[in-house]
Amino acid sequence: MTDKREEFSKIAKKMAAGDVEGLFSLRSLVVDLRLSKNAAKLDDPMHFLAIYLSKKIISDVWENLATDASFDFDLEKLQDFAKQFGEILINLLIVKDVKQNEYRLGETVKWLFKYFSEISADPIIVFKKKGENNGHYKI
Amino acid sequence: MGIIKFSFQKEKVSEKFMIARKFFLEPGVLKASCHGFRIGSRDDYYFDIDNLLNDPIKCSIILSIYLQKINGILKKDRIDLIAFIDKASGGSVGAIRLASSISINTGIPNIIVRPGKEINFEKIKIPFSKRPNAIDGIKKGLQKRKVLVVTDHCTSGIEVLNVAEDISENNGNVAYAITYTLREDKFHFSDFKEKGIEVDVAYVLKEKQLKSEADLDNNLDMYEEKFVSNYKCA
Repeated sequence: MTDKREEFSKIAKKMAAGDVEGLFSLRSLVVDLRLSKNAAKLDDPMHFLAIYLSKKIISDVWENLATDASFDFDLEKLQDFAKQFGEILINLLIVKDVKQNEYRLGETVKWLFKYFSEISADPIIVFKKKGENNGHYKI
Repeated sequence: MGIIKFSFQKEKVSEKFMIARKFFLEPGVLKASCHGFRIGSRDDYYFDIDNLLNDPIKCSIILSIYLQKINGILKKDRIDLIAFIDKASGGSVGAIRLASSISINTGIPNIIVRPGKEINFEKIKIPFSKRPNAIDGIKKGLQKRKVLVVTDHCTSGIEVLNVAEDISENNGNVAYAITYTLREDKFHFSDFKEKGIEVDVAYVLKEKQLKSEADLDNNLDMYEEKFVSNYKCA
């Protein structure tokens, strides 16, 4: 990951531009990353914080919305999340403004967990009508 | 080490392979989806063994298939430990549910690997040693034991390769991996060959999603005895 800072920044910019595909790229980048190995190699704590937050938050997204969830990613719904989180990562990696991030990070993560709660309360919001897509339907 | 007593009549195992082949058409097994895989990639479908293992009859058939595969290895080599993956990434619970059954039936001790942990020796859940020699026990780790990794599904196989690395860091040696299904179009055969891990598989899934019995004939390969890694990489 130390040698992937440029790739990491590119993904963050992609997300900040509202491209939800950036979330998939971010997942690929951090899914098997060992934080303990990177902690010893990285000098920049902001860079490490960006990796740490990415790994933890993207794990929450995948654990709840992807892998074996019984419905698909709602890409439109997550577009705003990708944008917000991408901007937070840019602030950490490039602008290095932590203060500006604190509130936004809280707001973004709160939005994500509120969305999980909304899905629990009303599954219809993620289950589309039959024929609309093949997302959650079992063959 | 226990003596391996289990044995099956060949016909009966073949029959079970044929029965289990049709499980892929059961609801909730091959899910149509544009899901994000564990690794972040996407595809039109994915395999979920969890629903099959809920059913005791199906579970017993799947167990027989795994045991047949392990028996195939034991005919030519020894296995000291069977490792199961505690999947921390939120995907299917997977083959770990069969850990005790497989261990009881083979007489081979089972271990759990927890890739989500950051501390190396915590990744393998075994009692290394009693105090006051716990540190020695940690240093010795698995003491070069030959390990078989049992998993439910491999898309790329990276998760199993990572687990092999975790086991290696704990002084064990993964020589074999058994997976119930494998995606032929995505699996990293050459990486397994490079690491010296022989992979056996029960069913090879292809790019096309299986929706009918005709698809089973055309897009599903069964490997009752042949090692797919040898087949692909020789």
